Amino acid sequence: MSDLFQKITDSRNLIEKIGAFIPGFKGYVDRNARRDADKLLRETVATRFEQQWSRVSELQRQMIQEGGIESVDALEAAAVKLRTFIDRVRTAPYGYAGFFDAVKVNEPELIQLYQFDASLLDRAVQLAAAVDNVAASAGTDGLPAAIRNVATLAQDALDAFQSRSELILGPNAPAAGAAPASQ
Amino acid sequence: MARIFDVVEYPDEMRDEIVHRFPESGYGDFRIGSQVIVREAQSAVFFRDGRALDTFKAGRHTITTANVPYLIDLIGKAFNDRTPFTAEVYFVSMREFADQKWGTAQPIIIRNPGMGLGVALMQGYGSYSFQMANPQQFVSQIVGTTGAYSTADIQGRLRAILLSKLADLLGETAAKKDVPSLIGLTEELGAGVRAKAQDDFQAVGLTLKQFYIESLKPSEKSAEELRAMGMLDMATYTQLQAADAMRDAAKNPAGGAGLTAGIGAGMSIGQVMGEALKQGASAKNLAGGAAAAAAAAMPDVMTPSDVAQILKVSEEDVVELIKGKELKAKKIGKGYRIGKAALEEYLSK
Repeated sequence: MSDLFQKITDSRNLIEKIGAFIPGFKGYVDRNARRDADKLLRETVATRFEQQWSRVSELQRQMIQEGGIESVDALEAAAVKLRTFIDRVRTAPYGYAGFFDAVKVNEPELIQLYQFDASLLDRAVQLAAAVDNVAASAGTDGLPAAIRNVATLAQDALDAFQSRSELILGPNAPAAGAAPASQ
Repeated sequence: MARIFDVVEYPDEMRDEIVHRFPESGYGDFRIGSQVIVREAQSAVFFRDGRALDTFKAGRHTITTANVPYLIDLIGKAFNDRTPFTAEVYFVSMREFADQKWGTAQPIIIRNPGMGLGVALMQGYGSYSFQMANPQQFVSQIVGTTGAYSTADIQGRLRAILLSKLADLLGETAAKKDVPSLIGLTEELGAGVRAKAQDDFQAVGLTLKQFYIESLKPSEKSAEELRAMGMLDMATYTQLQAADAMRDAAKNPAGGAGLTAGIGAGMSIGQVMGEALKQGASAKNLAGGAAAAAAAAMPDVMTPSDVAQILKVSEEDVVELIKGKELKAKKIGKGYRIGKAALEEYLSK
């Protein structure tokens, strides 16, 4: 994933390459490339989590077939958290601050964002293992615990993603998706 | 100024529109190097020379076509003043289409063993939401070359998928649970329908995000509808007839028996029902009691229509009973006449 930025900068068209020589414009073009790389990475993260979301639906269908409709709702709670996470990753801010904003978003901050988003891929691997465990626990006493584990991992991913905005704006900034504080 | 490049974008909010073709009709002749601007809640499927080449996500994209500025004007002269290098862009809304409504137009029949009539008619309604999952598949498979495609164009198909999954799930679950338990599993059933319908939505390039059941309950007209549909067994059918006859008799104090007969019929209902509960009395006993109560209000000679009214069935059902020799009647000309005694005999069988 680390060479996404390189691929984007290598594939610039002629106008963008010429623009990169204009003082001041180069930074703008590079920051845009960083944002594009981050967006591609986030799409990959969302796709990996979406695969697990589809597997959860498949497990729910199996449960229904085997007469365990009572467990479907517990797994649905995990599915809803996963869906929320996928949608938030897909629609997350690119990292941008206006010209007169107190906090500037430059390349170092965008690199941090990229690294943060890359770390989410590890969570997808953990989640896949947890969903495997649910499949293996079907029909056993361990099923409720296995389902709870999936829900916990999905919630952890959501909580972690809430702190994404802190990378740019500092730890006291309102988290992405959180309600604004009343004045 | 001469046209060199094009800017292709669709800033409309696409509230109910899923896909919008650009240009809306005819062919596109975008110049090489034209800019396609795709908004965050959109994707764009780029067609060149009739082929869906790729899907653009949010951002600005430079497209390549063979329409080289100025040169294409010369080439076009050989093609009836139009370009042979066509290009179109289909803007696809990626927003979630929330609060789509579903409802059971026809009640869903499920088994309800050991309770009530043995079967129940379930009716329900609620909402669902869907989102585009694969724009290129959706455009190629569903939209075709339509200029604009809205939610109304696909709602019928999506509802049909959802209702067939709901009917299937209710059938599967009702084999193990009674109707009151089913109603208590509304959230589980909603989640089950979402899971079951997922593959069908994916098959057309969509994702079913949510499926909510706002109401799921037995139809208020279950008995009448089931009777009309011929879904009741003979014993249940006869019990219902008897109950109807007793109710009518109790309501109608006139017709020879007067108020006392009505009250008497009411008392006999209580007695018969009590016996039925204690001893599992057969439908025949109930029908016998009902016949006595209903007889008070009957004229001596009746048409099939009169009998149908008394029995609360259709006239065709009465004629069927006559033809099947279950109910004695005289044929006069083209019509039938039924004697009071014949109907009493039928009801007491």
